[in-house]
Amino acid sequence: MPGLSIMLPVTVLLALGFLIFFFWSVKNRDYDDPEMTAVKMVMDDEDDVDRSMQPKAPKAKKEK
Amino acid sequence: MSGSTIKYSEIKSQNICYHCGEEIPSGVVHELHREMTTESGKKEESTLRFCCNGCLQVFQIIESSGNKNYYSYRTEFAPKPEGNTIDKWPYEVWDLEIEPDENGYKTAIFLIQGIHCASCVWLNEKILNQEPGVLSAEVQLATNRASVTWDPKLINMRRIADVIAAIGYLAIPVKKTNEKEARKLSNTMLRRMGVAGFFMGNIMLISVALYAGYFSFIDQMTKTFFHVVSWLMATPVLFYSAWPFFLNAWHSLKQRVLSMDLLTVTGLSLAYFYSVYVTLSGKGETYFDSVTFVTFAILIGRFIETKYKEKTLTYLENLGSGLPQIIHVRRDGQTVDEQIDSAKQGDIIEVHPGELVPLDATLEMDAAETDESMITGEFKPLLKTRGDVILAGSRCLGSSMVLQVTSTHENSTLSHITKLAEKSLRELPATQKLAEKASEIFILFVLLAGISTFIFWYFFQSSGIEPALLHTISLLIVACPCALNLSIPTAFIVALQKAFTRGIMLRGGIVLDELYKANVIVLDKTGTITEGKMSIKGQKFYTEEKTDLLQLACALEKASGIHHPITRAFAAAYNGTVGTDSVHSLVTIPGRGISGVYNGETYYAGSRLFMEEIGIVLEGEQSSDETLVYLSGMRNGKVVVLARFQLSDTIRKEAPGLIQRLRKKYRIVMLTGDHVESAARVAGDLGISEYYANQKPEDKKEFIDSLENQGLRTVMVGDGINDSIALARSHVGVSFAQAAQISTYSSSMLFLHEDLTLLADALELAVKTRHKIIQNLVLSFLYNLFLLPLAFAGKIIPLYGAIFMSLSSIMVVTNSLQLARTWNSGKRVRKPGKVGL
Repeated sequence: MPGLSIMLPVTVLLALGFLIFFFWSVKNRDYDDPEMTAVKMVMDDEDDVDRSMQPKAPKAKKEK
Repeated sequence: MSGSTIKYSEIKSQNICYHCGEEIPSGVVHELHREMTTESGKKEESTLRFCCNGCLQVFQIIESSGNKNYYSYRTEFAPKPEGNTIDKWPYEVWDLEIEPDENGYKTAIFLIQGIHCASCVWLNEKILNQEPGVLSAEVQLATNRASVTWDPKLINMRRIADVIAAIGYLAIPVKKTNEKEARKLSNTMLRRMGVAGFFMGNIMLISVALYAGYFSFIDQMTKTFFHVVSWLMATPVLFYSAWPFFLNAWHSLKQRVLSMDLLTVTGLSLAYFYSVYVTLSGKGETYFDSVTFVTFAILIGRFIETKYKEKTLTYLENLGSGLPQIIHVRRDGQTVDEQIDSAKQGDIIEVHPGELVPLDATLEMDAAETDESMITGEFKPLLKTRGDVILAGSRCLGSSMVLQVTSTHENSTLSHITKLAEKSLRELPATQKLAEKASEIFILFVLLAGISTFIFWYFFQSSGIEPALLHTISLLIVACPCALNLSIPTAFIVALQKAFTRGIMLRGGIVLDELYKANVIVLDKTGTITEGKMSIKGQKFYTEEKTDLLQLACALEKASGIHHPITRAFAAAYNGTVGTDSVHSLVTIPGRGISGVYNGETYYAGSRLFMEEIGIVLEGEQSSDETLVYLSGMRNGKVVVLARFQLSDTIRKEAPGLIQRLRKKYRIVMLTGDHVESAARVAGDLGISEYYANQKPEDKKEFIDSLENQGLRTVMVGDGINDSIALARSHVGVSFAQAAQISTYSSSMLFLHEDLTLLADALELAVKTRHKIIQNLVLSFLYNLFLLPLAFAGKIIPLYGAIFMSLSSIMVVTNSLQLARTWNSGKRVRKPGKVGL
């Protein structure tokens, strides 16, 4: 019982962290295009092209 | 994204273009030498071949911008970069419409045509983000839409469209839709699902401990501790995640309907509050786990259905606006492009070949040809003379037209029909009938069982009020299973998904129910049963010459380059024997025909009237059912007729088989705006005994209404604007995605491919889905049959309840999934990617 009363809140808190993480990812629009999210990570930029001349695009605001 | 990437080795072994995958015509050489990495990782010198200069250029642009990886990611070939003439779109005007935000930046949503796989999305995003002045670009694969933010000081909308056109895609801005609201809604749903899923998982862990304790030993304090923790976790699920069910139940109660949500809410609340009582009193077992599980499962179903509805809607919006939003209007002697709303009565406007007439108008020139197929469904070209009325939605054929506007945008004929159809759609009877009926019977049944349990225990067993109430409540809890709640939605979702992969889009699962109940199928003729375009059916030669007269006629018509149903029929039959560059001095006479010079001789191709006007006397008579085109030329110093070609609309090749199949089960009716003769011919060919010709849009609507008054349920298939009111009035309106926009809007089912057999597929799917639903209901009823007597006897053990609740849910879901396997009659088609305007 004493073990439980420590372990259970710890488990719940840990899981609560994941719930918050999930809320954050929803807010971050990770679920807008599920098909694309799945493949996006395997697509890299080509390295051998010098793009230092390109101005870095500022991250646009998500919500307008 | 499903499908594997395209390997270079596959391309190398075939004579196809590296970029677009089309066959390379013989004699065409467009090659580049590049070092390619083979599958084994070795580098080798290779030759990349292209079908045309356009593809080669696109390749070079993609390569030089550092996005060559596109070619190793793609799972489908790229769109061929031809015909994407962005010049004709008024990007400057669209650009002006967009208001800059507080930073002076502009944001627009573009529909990007040609996107069909993840690598297209990647490429477009990369190319756009590399462009100076573009602040951000996000492309969605699901909707084919790009959201682009740019700095107007550095770049404009046309330049953005140019960048996309340069890599072979076409970007068209779409009106800002309620996307934001849709996303908000979907995000809220996701959060509700997240909360339900999270607490469900945690409560299940505790439940395992409780179940174990039930059989071995658990002291009351630990038990209560577990109960309290479960209570804490179930509370947000009931009052946050399940909140929409409460709202829906309340709305339906106000309308005096016993809805499915009411059943869900009753079950959930009973289980919850009973468990709270158990927790506080320390007697019995709790049902907090069931509360969370049922909520989670139902939310998943709702979420998937919402996604499908959204997908269908976006698809419809992507079909593009039917009418041009820009007009070419003459102001002070100059032709300028303006917004359609600025047009006034009396304005003189120009309409270019191939464009749609934006407003009702009268012709301000001697003669012109139009195609009113969008409005009437009749595609034969019409000859208009000065002063004739030309309706908005007509297409300009041949040469440019000069028109005087007689209506404003608001009151044009087209807007009128659009409004009528929208009105009819709103008047559609409330759906959701099936689910409602099932739950109504069920609620009554459960309530009766509950009352009799109470009566039995209180009066016959004299058990006192508390045990009687407890037995009643536990009966109500086990009798409100999630299985029943899942029976209908899961079957619908599997069916919707399956239909989508086949090229059938449905507005919600309820359409399947309507399809199942249908007993009359009403078909439009032109464009539905027939292909809606002319083709050469027969030819007759008046000379013994060796010259290929058909190909000469084809070359003449093709070289004229005009948008015209007759021209298209000839262009389709063109095989290149007579080069289009060998004919010259082409003259088009609207409504008559065409003349041109070949080998130094003048040839004429056109109607009988045209022939008579140039002095040829023809024998025989013209049947009104088909169009005849004559070819004449100079022979021995005299113009004589050389050949005659018969053109007519073709019945779709799948139509006869389909009608044969459907006739056994359904009453088949054909409605057409066409004249009797041609209707009779088509009906005769297909064996349709019931047909009505000369039907105006209102007639079609009245016919559908009269069927409904007889208690019949109709499926109407049509494609023209003239069908749209009838489509909206029928129980299931079916249209092709390529059809006029308004008819796709008034339809509840949409075929993405021009294939009528999809109708039979959809009807079959509807029957299969119905069977699945009945099976599911029986399964969940069996569960009740087993548990209700136990509950009635007061012998219900929570463990049994939990096991059977899960088992019955799993059974129902698995059974629904079988639907995907049993519906296999048709061929599988690729996921629709291309959205045409």
